[in-house]
Amino acid sequence: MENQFQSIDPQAFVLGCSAIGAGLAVIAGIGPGIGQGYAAGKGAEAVGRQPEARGTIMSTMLLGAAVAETTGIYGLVIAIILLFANPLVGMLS
Amino acid sequence: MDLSVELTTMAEGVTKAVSEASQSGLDIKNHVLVEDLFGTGFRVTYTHMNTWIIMGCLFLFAIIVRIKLNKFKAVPNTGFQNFIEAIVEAMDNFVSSNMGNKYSYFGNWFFGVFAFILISNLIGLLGFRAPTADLATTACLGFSTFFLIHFMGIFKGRKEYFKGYLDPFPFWLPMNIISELATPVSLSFRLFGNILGGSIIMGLFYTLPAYVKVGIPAALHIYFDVFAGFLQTFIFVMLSMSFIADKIPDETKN
Amino acid sequence: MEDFILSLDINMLKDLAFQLLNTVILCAVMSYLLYKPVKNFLAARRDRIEGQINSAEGQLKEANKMKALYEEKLRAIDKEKEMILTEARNRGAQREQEIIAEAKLEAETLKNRAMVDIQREQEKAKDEIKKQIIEVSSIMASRFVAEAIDREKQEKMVDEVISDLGEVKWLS
Repeated sequence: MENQFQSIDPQAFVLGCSAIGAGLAVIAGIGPGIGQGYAAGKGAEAVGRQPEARGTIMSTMLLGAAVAETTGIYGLVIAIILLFANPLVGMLS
Repeated sequence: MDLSVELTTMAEGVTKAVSEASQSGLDIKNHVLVEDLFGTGFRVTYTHMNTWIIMGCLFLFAIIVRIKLNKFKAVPNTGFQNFIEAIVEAMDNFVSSNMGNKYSYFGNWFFGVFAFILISNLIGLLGFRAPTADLATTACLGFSTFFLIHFMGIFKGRKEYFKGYLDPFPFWLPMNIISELATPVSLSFRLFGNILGGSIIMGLFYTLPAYVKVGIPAALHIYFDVFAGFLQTFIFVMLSMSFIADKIPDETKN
Repeated sequence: MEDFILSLDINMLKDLAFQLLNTVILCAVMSYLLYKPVKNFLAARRDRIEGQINSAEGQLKEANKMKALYEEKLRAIDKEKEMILTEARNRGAQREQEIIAEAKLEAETLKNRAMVDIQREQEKAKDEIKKQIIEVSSIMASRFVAEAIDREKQEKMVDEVISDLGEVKWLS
């Protein structure tokens, strides 16, 4: 067992863990998915109740959805950083 | 280094990138074309080159409009004039409805920003790398919004602006500062993440075998470039306007 | 010449500054060449149309005022016409009556004069006849005198004369 761990290249280990971390980070997309779906459902309800206010409801919904999307985008950005601009590899040397 | 050398290295970089792209499908990487532009320490990447291409197209368009403006009739009789009037009027209404009639001069800034982001997002359709898929571009846009938010806040309503930091209770100050700093970060990361995420997904799809690359990428391009591009442009400009308008006291808006 | 997707280093900040410059230039040029001139053009057109609408409204108001004035005048003219007509009709009728009365009067005078003339003629004729009778009587008398001798003759003569005169009934 000890030999196995010692034979692992530390850089490869960090990169592999980073890939797992990136995969975990994009789980953050669940929240915005639920939130935006809820917002869209409420928006559809509002349009059904008040079809004449369609434009205002639409832009307000988009604004809210965009704000709700932020956390998901943070997760995506962290995944992208881990995959393409990994700061952890630099710490090895 | 003189101009010809710069141009030669730039052309070599483009050739190399194109040959790489032709081997591995869609290229989502940003290439450095010139390491040190005229010894100023600034580098030239795909982002800058595509930005210049977009700027050139928009300048050409603007010059054509400026020349044709003298021939514009009071009653529009050409599709071109209708189009120009429609986009300018739409932008004016957009700004006025979000920021109030008095601040409709922000249209001058947001019109350029809107055109730049929209064409940046759509330029992926032509095979270019979108400048908005680079954090430098989106961060610069987010930074300009940040600057405008606080400039207008201090300039227009100094009392309300500084009181806003101590809003629920004074020791909430660090939280307020963090939320102010998060605004440009979330603005720029939202645009960047959407566009780069879309291009990464398309880049992954383009590495698949050739027989699945018939027709399906068109749908992906329509969703990620056209739909998401348009939506993200709209959201970026609208959120910027809302954030700026939030800091301006209501009584000065009309 | 390395390729990258996301680089978080000093070069990113330089790119950012470069892009900021590009964006500011782009927005300034777009605003100067496209947005502001077109907006001014639209504003000028809106102002012009607004002015035209306002002036048209003013002219419409003016025209309505004029129309009301002329309608008033027309109504007054109608009334006046009616008045003139009735007046003329009245005057005509009056004149008619006058003319008739005058004509009657004249006819009366003419008749009277004619009557008088007739009277006079009658008188004259009477006188003439009287004179003639007298003449005839004197002639008879002279004849009587000339032929007084003959009684028969005389009687015969008297009868003659009387039968001559007997026809004249109008003297009575």
